[in-house]
Amino acid sequence: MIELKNIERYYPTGAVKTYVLRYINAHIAEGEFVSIMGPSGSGKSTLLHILGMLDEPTDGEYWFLGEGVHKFNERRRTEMYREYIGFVFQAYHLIDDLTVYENLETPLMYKKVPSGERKSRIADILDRFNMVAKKDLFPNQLSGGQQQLVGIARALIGRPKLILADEPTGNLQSPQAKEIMEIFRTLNKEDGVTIIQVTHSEENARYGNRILHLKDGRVENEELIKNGASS
Amino acid sequence: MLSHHLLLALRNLRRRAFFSVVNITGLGVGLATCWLIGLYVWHEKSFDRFFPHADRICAVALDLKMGEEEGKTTNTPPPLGPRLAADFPEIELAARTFYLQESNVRLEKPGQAPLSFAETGAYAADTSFLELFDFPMLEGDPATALDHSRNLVLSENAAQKYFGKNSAIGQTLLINDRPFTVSGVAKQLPAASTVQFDFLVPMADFKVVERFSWSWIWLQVDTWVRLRETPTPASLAALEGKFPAMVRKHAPAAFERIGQNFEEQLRKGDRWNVQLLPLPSLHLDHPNLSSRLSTLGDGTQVMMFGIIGLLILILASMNFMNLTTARASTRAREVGVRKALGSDRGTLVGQFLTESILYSSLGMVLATVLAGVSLPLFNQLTGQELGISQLFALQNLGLAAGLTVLTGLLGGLYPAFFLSKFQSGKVLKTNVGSIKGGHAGIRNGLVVFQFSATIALMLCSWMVLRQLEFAQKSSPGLNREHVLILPVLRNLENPTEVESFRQQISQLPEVSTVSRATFLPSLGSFGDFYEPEQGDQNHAVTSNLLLSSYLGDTRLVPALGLDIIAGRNFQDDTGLADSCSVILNEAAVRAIGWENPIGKWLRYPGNQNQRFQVVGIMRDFHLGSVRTAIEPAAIFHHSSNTYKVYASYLAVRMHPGTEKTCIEKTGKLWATAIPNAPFQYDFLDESFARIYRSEAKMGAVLSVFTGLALFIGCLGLFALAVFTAEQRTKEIGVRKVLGASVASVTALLARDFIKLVVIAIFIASPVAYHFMHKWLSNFAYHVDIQPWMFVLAGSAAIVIAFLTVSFQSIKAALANPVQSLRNE
Ligand SMILES: Nc1ncnc2c1ncn2[C@@H]1O[C@H](COP(=O)(O)OP(=O)(O)OP(=O)(O)O)[C@@H](O)[C@H]1O
Ligand SMILES: [Mg+2]
Repeated sequence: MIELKNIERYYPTGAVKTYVLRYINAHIAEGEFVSIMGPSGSGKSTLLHILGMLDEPTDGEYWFLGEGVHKFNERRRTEMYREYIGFVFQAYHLIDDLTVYENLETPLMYKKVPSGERKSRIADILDRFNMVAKKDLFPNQLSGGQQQLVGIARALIGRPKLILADEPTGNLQSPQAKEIMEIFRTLNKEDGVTIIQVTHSEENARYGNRILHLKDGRVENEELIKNGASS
Repeated sequence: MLSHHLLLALRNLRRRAFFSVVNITGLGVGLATCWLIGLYVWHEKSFDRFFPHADRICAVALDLKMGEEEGKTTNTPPPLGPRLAADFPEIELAARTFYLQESNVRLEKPGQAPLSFAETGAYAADTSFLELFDFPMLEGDPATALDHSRNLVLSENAAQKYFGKNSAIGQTLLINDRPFTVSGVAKQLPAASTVQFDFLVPMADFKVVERFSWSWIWLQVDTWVRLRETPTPASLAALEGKFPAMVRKHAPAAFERIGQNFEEQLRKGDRWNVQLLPLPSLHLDHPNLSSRLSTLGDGTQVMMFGIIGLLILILASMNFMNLTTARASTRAREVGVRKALGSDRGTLVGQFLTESILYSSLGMVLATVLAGVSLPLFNQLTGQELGISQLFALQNLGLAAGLTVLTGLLGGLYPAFFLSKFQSGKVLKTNVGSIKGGHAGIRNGLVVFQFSATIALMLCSWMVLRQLEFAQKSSPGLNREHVLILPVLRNLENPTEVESFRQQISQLPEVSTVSRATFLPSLGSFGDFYEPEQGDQNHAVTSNLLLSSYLGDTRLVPALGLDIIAGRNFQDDTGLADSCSVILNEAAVRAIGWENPIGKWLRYPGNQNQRFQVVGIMRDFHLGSVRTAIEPAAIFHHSSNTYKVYASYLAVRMHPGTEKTCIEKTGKLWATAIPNAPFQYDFLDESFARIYRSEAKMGAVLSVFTGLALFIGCLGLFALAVFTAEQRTKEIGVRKVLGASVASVTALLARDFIKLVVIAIFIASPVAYHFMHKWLSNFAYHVDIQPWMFVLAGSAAIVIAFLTVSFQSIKAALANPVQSLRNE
């Protein structure tokens, strides 16, 4: 599904280039559950943004479902978001002016899901995340953890084929985190959803079938998990 | 999707109430202005289009050059109309009108006091006049209504005024004591009609026109023609090309009668060309036409109003743009998230445009209220009579809807495209709060533009007001104040009656002098050619001089406060001592070229070469508008009987402060001396002020516009200041913790804005100078553009901007730092 060839990303700082990502080569097949780990500042978020087509590599090629992403125009990217990708942001990025309910509704509206189905899907996911009572609150009326839950729910609600999650459980208590990981695992196992997550927690990482260890912008090593997800 | 957009927009509006109020107020003011001005422009542009044959009707004009005098006029001589109709098959009909000046109209009621008014809308007209225009009639037949002697056609208004609901047909009205029988009532003409009348009587009943039917010089009638075919510019030019032959065939005899050789004059460079001015463009396209048609408009002024109205709307839209882009930092993240959730650019643009159109719609609601409330003021400014019902007429609501959408697009398009362009990666990569508010450059540009426009308007309106004040007040050589004017011609034809009335008034203790004269300054004069007698070989003088003159008595000089700088005034009124005397102004002496004018002679070819000796020289004074240079002028004595004109006034110089009692007492004297006519009076200074109606209107409108522009600009600036202070709360908090004083923080915040205003001053000054210079060049006498005006206007703008901004800056500077830091 995903093919990365010599991906590089640098920022021009003064005269020198600061490399954030270097020589990233990776292949991720449909139905995999991959975790990305590494110290702060190692480029995890950057990589995920590139995978999510939010950012562009300064060098190298990114092939998605056999198509070159560098050739995508804005319209094609929009199609990707509508059809394939669900993104969980590290900083949640809920829309401040919208209630929880509306935040969840937004991707469905862009996908042109009919309103009856929208209602039932939102009701369903609110129920699943125990947020029914909060549906009319605005993001700034929620705790950090609650905001994170809404961010995850929003990524899942469109039933994407690829979930990109940047530290999805960073602000959650471990039982709650576990619940989310279970949801991810179910999606991966039962619906064949491809998942790529960034995480600091070894435990969470083990839900996947593979761990990519990043350091200073390079893939330091790759670890396969035996009893992880199927590939 | 739209309802979703709308819901969001409404919520944003509520959540940012302050900015919403600023936006909507600004837009409301801008829209109301633009709407009203739109109506005005539309009214001016629609002039005369309602006539069924408007495109075939033309006013006949003359393009003249006679000696030094030149210009274009619709004042035409009596034989021209009949000749045009007779000689040219292309012309279907021709009709002339003759203005009867102010006339006394009286309805005798048996056993009651008569109903009597001084009317300004009375004309004598050819029988074809009603047919030519095809005026819709309520009663009577337009083809025959003026066919019989002593017929009278009334306007709907006039019929109502004198006869109420009863039919006017067959009734008798006295016009200047002559009875006329109503034979028709014309439907009320729209205000957008060049031709306006209340009373029409047959031309044949006014022998004076008949008497001058030979004359191609007596330009006292207005002539209209209707062509058989709608003219094209080419066909019109072709027709006009045939006129010179007609003029050369018929005019020379008339010129010979007054001792001039027409052909020779033409050889010397004079012009006497007949032109046809199509009715649809007559109202606006002929700014320099000298005409008795008092309804003519000024295309440039209409265009100027239109442009300024649009400018005000643009300024208001800019506030909206400014505040939206200022908020871009907060919204950039939203855009990024939405894109990552699958929104395309079009949807985002739609969302932002929905928001801006919602704002402009609310602005329009406010504008509706504002327009309704300010309608009377607007009518007063433009001299229109728009009613509330017209404001909300269907086509005007269309205009309003159009304006709303236009404003929404103006204010919304840029932010919509600017915001929707954000790339998700760029704005989402980093964490909350660290995205900088972009496009400060454009925002600054908009503020500079707003203030440049405002300062330029400020300078221009100030200039107009100064020139207006100069034109109305500056009166060298003539004392306009405390002079009461009584028109007496139509009321007292007999000179001895006028004289006894004059004496009665002069006996009032409030009165210092009363003079009787044919015309008075600002009210016209008699113009004709005179021949100064030659000086000598060394000092040649001009052979032919156009003089504007008054016929007056000994008291005219003191009554008007004229200044005799050489020689003497007339000496006495009883004998014929001064029947051959003339008093000239300095301009006349300069034009003639005499070195020692006193004692020299003038001849008047128009009256059997009557001779006049110069007895005095008066200081130059403005006979009319300061637009034109002071013309050569003269005063002759009544006893000369040199010419006859149909005008006669009494000029009453009053002791200052006694005006009220003086008018009361004069009114009583009038009632006994002239019982048949209502008491009429005027003041010399007000009569002069009326010459500058157009300038006064422009001054007033410009001032209002300037005020509005300033208001909108300050509103925007204030909101921006609030916004900046909000954004920089953390910085301000930190600075204060580090020891910054309130003053230094205020200065820090205000400085950026003041810089923009200073830049605006430098942009506005040359622009304003250009327009002021151009406008002032319309006047032969005008005030000068002074450097200190720019300094003062600039300082005013800075002070106003500083007050606007500093309120917010001081508030921000005074805020408790702990509070602002905790908020972060
Ligand atoms: N605009 C930029 N200019 C220069 N350097 C940048 C810019 N944006 C990010 N970086 C650098 O890129 C590197 C990687 O950032 P990234 O956000 O990918 O780290 P991360 O691995 O997600 O860290 P964390 O675990 O803290 O989220 C950091 O060292 C950061 O300083
Ligand atoms: Mg990160």
